[in-house]
Amino acid sequence: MIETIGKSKDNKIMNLLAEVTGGMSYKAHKYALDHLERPSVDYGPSEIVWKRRAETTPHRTYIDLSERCKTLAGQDDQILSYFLDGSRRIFKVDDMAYTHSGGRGVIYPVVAGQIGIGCCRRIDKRVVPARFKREFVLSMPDVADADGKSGFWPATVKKLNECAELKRLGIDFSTILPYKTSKNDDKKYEDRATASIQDRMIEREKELVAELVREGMLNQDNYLVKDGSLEYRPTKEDKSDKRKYQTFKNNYNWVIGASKNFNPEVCMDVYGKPNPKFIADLPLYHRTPVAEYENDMLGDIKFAVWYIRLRDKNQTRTPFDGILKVEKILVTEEENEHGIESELVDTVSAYLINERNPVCYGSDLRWANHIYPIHLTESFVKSRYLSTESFLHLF
Amino acid sequence: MKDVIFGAHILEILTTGMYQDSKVIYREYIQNSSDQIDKAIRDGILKQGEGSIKIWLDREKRTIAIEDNATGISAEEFQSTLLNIADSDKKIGENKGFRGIGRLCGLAYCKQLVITSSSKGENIVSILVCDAQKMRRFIDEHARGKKHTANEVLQSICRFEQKEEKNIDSHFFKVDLIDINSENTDLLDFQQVKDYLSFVAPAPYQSSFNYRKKIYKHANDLGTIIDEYNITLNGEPIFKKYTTVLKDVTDTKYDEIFDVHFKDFFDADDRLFAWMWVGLSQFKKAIPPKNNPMRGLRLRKENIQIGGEDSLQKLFKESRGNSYFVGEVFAVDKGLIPNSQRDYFNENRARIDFERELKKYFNEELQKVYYAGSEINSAYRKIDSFEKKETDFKAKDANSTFIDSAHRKHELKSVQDSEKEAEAAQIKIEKAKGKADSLTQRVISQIEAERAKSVAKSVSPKSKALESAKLSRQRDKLSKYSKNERNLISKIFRIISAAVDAETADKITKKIEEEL
Repeated sequence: MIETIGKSKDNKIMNLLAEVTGGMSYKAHKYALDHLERPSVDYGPSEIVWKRRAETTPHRTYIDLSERCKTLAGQDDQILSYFLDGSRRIFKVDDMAYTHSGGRGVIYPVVAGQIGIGCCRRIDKRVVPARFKREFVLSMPDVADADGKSGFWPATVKKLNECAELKRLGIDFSTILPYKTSKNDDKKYEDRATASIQDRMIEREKELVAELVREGMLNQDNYLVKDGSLEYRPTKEDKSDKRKYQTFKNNYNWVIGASKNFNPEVCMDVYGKPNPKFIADLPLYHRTPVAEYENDMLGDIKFAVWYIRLRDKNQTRTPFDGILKVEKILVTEEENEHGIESELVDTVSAYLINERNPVCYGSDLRWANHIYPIHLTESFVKSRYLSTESFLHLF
Repeated sequence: MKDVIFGAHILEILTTGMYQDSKVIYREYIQNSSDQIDKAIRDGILKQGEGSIKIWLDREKRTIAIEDNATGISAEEFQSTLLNIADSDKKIGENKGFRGIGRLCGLAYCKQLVITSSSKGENIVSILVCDAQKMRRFIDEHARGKKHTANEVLQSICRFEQKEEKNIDSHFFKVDLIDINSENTDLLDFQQVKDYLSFVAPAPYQSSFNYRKKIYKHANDLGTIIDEYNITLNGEPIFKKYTTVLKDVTDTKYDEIFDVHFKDFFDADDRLFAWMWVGLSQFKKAIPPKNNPMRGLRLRKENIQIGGEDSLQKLFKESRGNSYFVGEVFAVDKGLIPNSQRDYFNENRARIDFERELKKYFNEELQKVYYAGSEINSAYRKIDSFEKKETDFKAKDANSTFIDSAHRKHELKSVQDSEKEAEAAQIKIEKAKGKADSLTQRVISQIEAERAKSVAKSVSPKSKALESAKLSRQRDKLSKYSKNERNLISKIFRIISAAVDAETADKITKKIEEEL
């Protein structure tokens, strides 16, 4: 946990925010809310049922990819060209009091975050930065906008950005994300604020994927590997022209999601019972059959998901270390009807397995599930952050 | 000499009468677009890889649109380029199309054909609207005796228009087929069109086809290139659908392409006139057409397929020969000229030489490979069958599951017969190996390597000497029955054993024992 000691006399941002929102700044201690990145199991709500097959060959057990890995490695060929990762750093920067009915004053945390989304491209075996987007955001309690006026938050951001200190440093806040203060939620205020910034990061990540897709950078020789789950829903703008939409959607053919963390409990067997052992026992350089899942959140878009083992169980600490969860959107008519071509699944999986070396052992606790270009992309994004000290001194 | 008259019937020959399969319209328009993309790249209008051919099908509106972003046609040249027939500036051997008739083919399948184009640097879009229905009416009248010249018909059905193009830099050529005839609804069937284009169009290999890089490298080493274009159908990219897996009719994998082999054909002057790649598998059987759309050695010129999957079949002594292989023959020689239907080459000296050399290779080299493949596979099947029979026999002895000594004797005879067949098979394999050339040797090695894997997987039970087994099935399992009952049950078991195959007999006997 990083803390800054002392209260700067020039708390211009907080003073201004207090003035505009009618709150009272306590100039509280500032500290990072991020936890160290350590291996964890991601308990998501999605359900995966193995019986809903999403590939052309009806596999019922593990598929050995070791031969294919060797063949591809021997050919010196590569199709995984782009790597995308988004991350955020979140800090509690102040406590702000707002007066409720009856003169009751309640104190809420103000949370600030740096969001960085980066994309690296592999050219001739070298991974080089291709895109980077950074933004500074704030999250404040919704009661700060007491009247619920539309346009209040954008106007507040605008005022904030006119502050001389920010202008001098060339820094702009892009938005203020209000978090809900109503009590019908067990979450702490800090967590609610963190969640709103996390959502913003995911949105920005999706935007960057869509940008690459829209620009036609991706094709069958240039896949994009996105760190984490693929949660994509087309926007109204995407859907506005039928032909453009179809082209746009088809570009998602070349995007795969690779998750280091996943919830093994949601993998049901053909009898509908959770069967995480099926994944835990996945032999080295094998993949599971491809399952299909839909998510109400994502409308008519179907996903295919499968798991691959990059590293032997003996070299890892938990049964799920060394296993990567891979996702792909079912895009074409054929894919939606018959599933993904099994050979393509094998090829993409073999390419991912061939990414297993080098490893980021020692520099990242999740090394067993990491693929190095994603690790590099993460490092690139993190290297572009404003230092914690400089960032916290803004408040 | 009087002027030569081209009657309306010539238009029937060039449109309706030209092709057997309506889907060739896609090939014709793609061919034109590809040539223009090549030109646009040469002229610096497009960079390599920027060219695209987009096809849109609309089943509800019954329309087809085929559009490219190549050179387009300037307003000045638009009328003459599109009206003149068989008067193309393109050259044989340099361009994919050269006859100047392909653009008319769409007239046979729709009510109206509209061509729109604009070239870079001008703010005009030129439009040609052809009343295809009217053309067919004229042709019909002509056939009934009311004569029309081709010129008269074209003048009467074509209307030229122009409109302003705001973007002076835009360059495109677009063909719209409006109101597709009801008898040609297949043209609007997305999957059928995609399957057709997946092999006919000059598209790239799909990236899951492991050997594509090897193929590109070989082409590159030969100093040739494989022409490939970005073609999309309703936004979905078209790829050559080669896979390494060979599937049975039941959709299960039975064999796999484990490598590709190349053969280059040179003429007497050492000039390359064709080259090919062929997939090496275990050649277990002729590849079933169902579930293996890529089967057959396919002929291609400028990476456009010539004819169907069987255009080279006639060069094999046995017509089944072609169906053992997956591969492509790329014709390079300029003298190999696709005929107007593009289902084979024009008859000329180059074709004769081409056929002679291919025949020689197919029947002397490739035939050996698939012969040896099937022979060795069949020999190993016999050996495997013996090994299985022997293992089963030992297991039955170990578990004492023979009905009686007669049953055991009968099974032993079967094992011994199988052993003899296996021995003969082993001799056959050795002989085949002895005379195998390097290519055949690779196939044999693969068969043996795969077999070794499957043998390693099977676990053999603890063996007992065949002759020293005890027959205790009846004694152990039927001990509670009287002697007469035991005799009757044994008789039933013997009948079952004689009536059906050993495996089924065993199943039935076990089931009866359980019930008893």
